[in-house]
Amino acid sequence: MVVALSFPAKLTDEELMLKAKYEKLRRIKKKVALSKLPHHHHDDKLKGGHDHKPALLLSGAGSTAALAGSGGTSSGPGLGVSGASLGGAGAGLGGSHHRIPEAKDAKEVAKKLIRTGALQTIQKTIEKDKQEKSRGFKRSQGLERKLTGLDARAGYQPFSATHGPSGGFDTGGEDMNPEPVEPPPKKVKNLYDTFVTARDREERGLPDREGNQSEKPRQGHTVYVFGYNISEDFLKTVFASNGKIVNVSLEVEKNCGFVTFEKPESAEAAISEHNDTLAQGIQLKVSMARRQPQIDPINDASSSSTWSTIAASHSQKGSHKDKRDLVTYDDGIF
Amino acid sequence: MNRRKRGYEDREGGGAGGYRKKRRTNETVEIEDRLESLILRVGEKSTSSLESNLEGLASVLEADLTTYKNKILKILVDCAVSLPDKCTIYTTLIGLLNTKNYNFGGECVELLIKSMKDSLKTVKWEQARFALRFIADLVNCHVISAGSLLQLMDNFVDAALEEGVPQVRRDWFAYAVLSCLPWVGRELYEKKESELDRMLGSLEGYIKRRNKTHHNALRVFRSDTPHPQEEYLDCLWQQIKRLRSDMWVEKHIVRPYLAFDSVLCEALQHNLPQMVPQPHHPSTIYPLPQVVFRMFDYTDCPEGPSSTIILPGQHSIERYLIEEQLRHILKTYHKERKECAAQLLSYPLKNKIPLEYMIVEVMFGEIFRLPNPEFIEIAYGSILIELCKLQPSTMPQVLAQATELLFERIDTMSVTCFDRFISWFSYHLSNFQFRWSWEDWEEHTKTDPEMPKPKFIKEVLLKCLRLAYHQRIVDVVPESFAAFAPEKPEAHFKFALDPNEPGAEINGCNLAFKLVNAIKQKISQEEIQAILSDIPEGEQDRELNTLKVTVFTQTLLHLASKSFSHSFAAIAKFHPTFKTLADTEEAQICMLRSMYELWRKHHQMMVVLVDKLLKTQIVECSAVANWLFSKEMVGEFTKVYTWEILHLTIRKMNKHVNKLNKEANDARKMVEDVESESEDSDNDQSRKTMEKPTEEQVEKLEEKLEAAQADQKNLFLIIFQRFIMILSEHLVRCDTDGVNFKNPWYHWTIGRLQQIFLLHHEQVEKYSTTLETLLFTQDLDPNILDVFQQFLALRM
Repeated sequence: MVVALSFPAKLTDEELMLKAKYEKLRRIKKKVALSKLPHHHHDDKLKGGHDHKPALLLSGAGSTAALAGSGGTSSGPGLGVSGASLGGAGAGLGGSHHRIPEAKDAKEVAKKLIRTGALQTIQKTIEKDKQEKSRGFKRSQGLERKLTGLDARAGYQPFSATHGPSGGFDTGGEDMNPEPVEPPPKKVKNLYDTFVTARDREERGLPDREGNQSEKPRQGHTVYVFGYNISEDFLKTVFASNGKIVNVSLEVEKNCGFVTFEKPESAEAAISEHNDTLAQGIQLKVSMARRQPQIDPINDASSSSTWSTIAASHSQKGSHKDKRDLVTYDDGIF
Repeated sequence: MNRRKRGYEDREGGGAGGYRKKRRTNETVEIEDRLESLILRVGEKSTSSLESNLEGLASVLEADLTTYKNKILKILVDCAVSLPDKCTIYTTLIGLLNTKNYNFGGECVELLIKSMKDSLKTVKWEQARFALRFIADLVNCHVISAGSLLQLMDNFVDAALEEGVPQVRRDWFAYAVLSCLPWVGRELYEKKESELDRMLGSLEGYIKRRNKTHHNALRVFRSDTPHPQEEYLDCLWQQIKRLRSDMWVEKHIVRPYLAFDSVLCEALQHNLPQMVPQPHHPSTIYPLPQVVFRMFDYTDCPEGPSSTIILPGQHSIERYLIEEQLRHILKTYHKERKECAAQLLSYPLKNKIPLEYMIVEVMFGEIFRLPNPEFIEIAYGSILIELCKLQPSTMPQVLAQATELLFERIDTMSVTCFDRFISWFSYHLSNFQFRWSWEDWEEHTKTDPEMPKPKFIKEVLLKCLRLAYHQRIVDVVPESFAAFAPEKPEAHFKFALDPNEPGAEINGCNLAFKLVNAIKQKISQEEIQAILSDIPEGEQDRELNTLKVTVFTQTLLHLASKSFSHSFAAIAKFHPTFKTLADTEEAQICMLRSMYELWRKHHQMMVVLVDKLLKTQIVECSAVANWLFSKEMVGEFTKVYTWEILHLTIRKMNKHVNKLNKEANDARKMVEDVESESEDSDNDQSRKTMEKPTEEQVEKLEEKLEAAQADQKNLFLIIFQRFIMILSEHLVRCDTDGVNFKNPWYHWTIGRLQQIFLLHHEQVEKYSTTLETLLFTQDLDPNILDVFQQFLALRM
């Protein structure tokens, strides 16, 4: 296993303890997951939110430290408390999530454990990634270009040797690159890059690959916005800076709206930038919309995800506003 | 596949309540309706298995056979030919009935043969083919003996081997036999191996010998890489050969009769009555040959969760079977886009194949079908949009991938398909906020704009312009696309200048100034015409007329430039003046040219104006053709709108001829009918309401038709002659200059020539002898002659 290479073959006492705890937590997680089945969506969403927390993304010793915090408590609810304290921003996500902290936190802790050396789930992720990479050798020219661009860049990645296929995740434009390679246009990014936001990595402040191997955070093109007296125009103005907007829909009586972006990065940027902030005097809560189709890229056509997002948003007219003047037909020469 | 969503049980439970809106009191009718509904819906989704449903239905029908035999027979035979997707279900049903009632089985077979004969007589080729397949499948159900099916097939093969008849006829018989073999091949192989081999031997001989000149005319891509674009009979032959080498085992067709094998094998078999296909008649129209469109192979599709989802290879029989079924769904539901999309996506074997890819390939195959798609183009476009909405996670992605692949291979795409690709893509974009990764195509801004790729981008944006507005399109594309962005579609009125300014055409400006005022004051047409005649002296008569026409056309259209409706109203109001001015073809061409000068930047306006001028008979079709081939239009020659105008002109002419043809025929028939019934004086009363045309009137109509046909022939002659002239000139020039003649201009022009032949093949065909003797003579350059010969081969 690729990641295992960075660890000594023999486990330290601490690690052994962690492993045992992992097993235990996994059992708890399973139990909790079972009992929480109906809240599936919510759970996912929260998971998405939490994955961005720096504390969770530490590797090795770092995550051990994080675990130490929760080490004292062994029961499910106890873990839930510490988990909640780790994930402060999760509080803003909306009304009902407080009911199920155990599930998500058990998951979080489990994930941390996974990163420390228990590799079962990682294996799966990497398998999947391999598949992604190997599919379809007949490709469009555009893609060929993209891929060669990527490969060239990937070669310079300091961690690519040890991290194998997962290195493919991180070759996006925002990565630091020692070579003055012409930065490719945004859409040239591997679609998987969209799963890891620039901000995410900045927050971590270290080029940590392992974080990416955890389960993907919930992805989406659409964000949910809550705020009193918001209007369509308001949403468009506020979120225009985050990226191209495909669709805006409003539920006035509920003081909320949905903004669909062309790219999932924009949705994430919108959340991190606007959640719990004041915009034009309105206090906003922004989170990933719960019910939205998961669009997994199945091919390499660059417009794939955009078309999918538009098709899924059920809006043909989208956010376009006709800026033309009204033509009047007054005369009656004919 | 299911005709209705409701399950089998609903009908059982709620049948009495009102499964028919119109309740009929007659009990017999009610029971017959019920039987029909039962039979039609067997095989739909149901909680119990298909086999038990079939068994149940067979016993129900058996009980009713004494009373409703004829009705049941009729329904079963109708289902056999019109629901080919449920072929094996109905053969099983008939098989089961045959075990219970041998005579009924015999009557079924008789009626099926009769139905096939009728279909052949009424040239319903697809129905006849389905009937043959159904009969073949009855061999699997032990209703018909293998030997007698082989005899029938041999008769068909003989028809395929017949000399001296058109190849399209022979092709159909060969195709009909081959397309049965996936169903019955195994059974024939087990029971009559040597006869089957002999039959296949004869077919192979035919397939190898047949002429394939038409192949190149019908290909979407000129190149066979990455995917061969095979001739349809060749392709099916290869697929059958592959099936044969697999010992005729295929796993795609659902065969409910296998479950009843123990029952069915007891049954007595019938022998088919002798049936020889009716001989060829010169008036019979046979299906045209086709080329199988391929754009995907398994490497284009993502790997599924398991390796079982894989796109069947081009020569696997599954590919043929699935494509045929998808096309059948499309055909059945093409008028209801939502239902069609839902049906396509619920294809029964969707979990075993990359369904989205197969649907997209079939859809594009239909859009690009040459010579003409079966349905209007928007039908396919709108179904594709519904597919995207219904399956947003995958369908749009597959379409985007398909678009990239098509674009990549556009250099070898037929010009006709190039046009269709443009209209589909722009239509699709208009439903997707015109979003596309335009930046990917940036590199083509730097290449020769006459190359297919840059031309495609440019024309797509022009077409998008028609579906949106100028600023929108400008906003949508990246700034680097300046060269591709359409010009603002404005009128350019060259007489707008003050007559005293330098560079102004003084006479024109003066005249235009007077005209504008006159039109605004709404003075009479006579006075307008008086103004037009009042032109300073000292100029030659011919130029005078040119000036008059130019100034009048431009001034009027300029004043009416606000909208299509304004322009139409202006043409309608000043129709008499237009007619007076456009008295010669020269004047008409001058009028078209003036319109072009004014509306050069607004292609759609030019298209609708030409259409209007033709419809109001201000200009003639030949004038439009001559104008398009004139020196002034050289710069526009390779633009898509030019050909849009030419094709609409030809279509207008064809429509006119067809209408007159129908009128003349109807009148002639009426006269003859009346004559034959003249002794029967009782009928006169009822006939009085319908005016009986006099012989004189009929003759007049026929004269009119002849004149129109002469015009039509003349139009084609002008067009083809112009093509031959410019192409020959180009070839000679390249020869003397020692350069390769295959430049982009040649590519477009020869493609457009081919397009005229293909799109209007039914009309051109009437004049092919004239064309052969007058224009496409043997001394012509082979490159040009080839196009004509490919066209002739379509119906050979």
